[in-house]
Amino acid sequence: MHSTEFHVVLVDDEPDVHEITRLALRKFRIYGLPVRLHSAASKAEGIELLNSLTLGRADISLAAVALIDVVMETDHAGLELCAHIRDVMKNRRMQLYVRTGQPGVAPERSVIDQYDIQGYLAKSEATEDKLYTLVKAGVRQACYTAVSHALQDLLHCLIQSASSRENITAALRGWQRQARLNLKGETAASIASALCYMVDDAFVAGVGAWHDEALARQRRNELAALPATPLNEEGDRITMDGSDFLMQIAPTAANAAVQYMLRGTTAAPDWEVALYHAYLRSFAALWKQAG
Amino acid sequence: MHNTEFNVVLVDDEPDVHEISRLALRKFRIYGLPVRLHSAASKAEGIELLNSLTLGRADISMASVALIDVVMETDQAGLELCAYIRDVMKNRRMQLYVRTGQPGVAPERSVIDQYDIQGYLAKSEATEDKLYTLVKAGVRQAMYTGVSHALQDLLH
Repeated sequence: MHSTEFHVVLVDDEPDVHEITRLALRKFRIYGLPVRLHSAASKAEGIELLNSLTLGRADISLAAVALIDVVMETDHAGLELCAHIRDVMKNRRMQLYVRTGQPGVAPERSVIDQYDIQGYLAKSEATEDKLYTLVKAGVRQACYTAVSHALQDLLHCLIQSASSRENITAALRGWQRQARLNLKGETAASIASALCYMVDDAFVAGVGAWHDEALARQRRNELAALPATPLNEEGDRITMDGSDFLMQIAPTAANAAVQYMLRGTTAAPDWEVALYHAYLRSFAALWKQAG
Repeated sequence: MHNTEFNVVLVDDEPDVHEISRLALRKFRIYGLPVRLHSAASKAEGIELLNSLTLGRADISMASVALIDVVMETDQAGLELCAYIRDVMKNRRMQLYVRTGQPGVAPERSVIDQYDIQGYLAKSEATEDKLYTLVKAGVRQAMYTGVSHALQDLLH
C-alpha cells in the first residue's frame, strides 16, 4: 500500500450531514491508516473536487469512495454525478454509494438498474454503523482494484518495451516517475513509498530512499537474513518486516532471479502479496525472455 | 462477457430464506443474463459447494457473490466460512455479504473490522430491494475484477 491516508468524497447539500460524517470518520482506521473526508455540496462542486483528486489520468483518482446525495439542486443531481464519474471520467474503480431522503423520487431498483453504483441508502438506513461498513468495505475494494490495475498497467507498459533489458529498465523508471504525478504534473500528495528491483543481484531501479543503491542493498541484506515465507513450490518467497517486504522470485527455466523490495505505508495484506507475486513472476519471465 | 448466467451462493440454515431468495431472484437479470442460485445450509456444505464451483484454481470461482448467514451450526459458522474463502481459497474477488438474525452475537463493526467482506445485513434490513441491490452491485463488481484478472492471467 502506498497511500498514507484514504480519501472519501461526500457530496450533499445539507451541512449537517457533512458535520456528522466528519465526526463519524474521525477515529476511523483502515489497514491502520486514517480517512480524509472531502466535501462538496452540489453536482458542479463534486465534479470540480473529483477533478482535483485525479492522478495523472481522469480515470484514476485518489478518492476510493464517494457518498453522494441524490436530490440536491435538482431531483437527479447526484445520479448525474455518478454517471459523470463512470461515463465521462471513465472511473469504474471508485466505489459509489448514493443516499437519499426521498426514496420515492429515485427508487432503489431503478437506480441500481440504471447506474453502476455499489449501494443505495435511504437516509433512514444511513446509521453510523452502515457508514462504517460502506467506507471500510468500499476503501478495501477500491485499494484491491487500484493495486491490481496499477500492476496490470505497469506490466502492459513493460511488455511493450520487452525487446531488451535496457528498454525494460527505462520503461520501469519512466513509469515509476509518472505514477507519482497528477494531471498538473505535480508530485501527488499523500503517496509515499520506497521500492527497488534487483535482477541476478544487479540493481535495476530504485525509487525514494532506495534510489540509493547502497541503502537498498543494506536493507535487502537485512530482510534476506530474516525468516521467509514460501509463496509456491518453485522457491518464490517473501520476507515481511513491519511495512517493508522483500519478495524473491526463484530462477527457473522461465524466470530470471528477481528481488523486489517495497516499503509500504502499512504491512501488505494477503491479497496485496498475491497481486505482487503474480506481477513479479511476469516481470521475471519478461526479463528472462529479453536476455 | 463469456457467461451465460451468473452464479450466486446462499448459505443459510433456514429453508425459508432459500425459498424467498429463489423467488426474489427468479426474474432477475444482470447485463441481460439470469442468475443461478446455489444453496448450502452449513459451513461444511458451503465449503463443499464452493469447491465444486472453482475454475481450475481454488482462487477462481464461478460464483460472483455469496450471501452467508452468520449463525448456523455455531455462532460464528458463517464468519468462519468467509475467512475460509479469503484465507484458504485465497479468493479476494467473490463479493461476500453476511446476514444475521442476531446482530448482538456478531456486531456489525467488529465483523467488518475482522473479516474482509463487502457488507453486513441484519435480517430486519434484508428486504427484497436490498437483496436486489447486493446481488446486482456484487455481480457487476466481481465481473469487473474477474474480467481484468482473466486478461492479466492470459498475458502470463
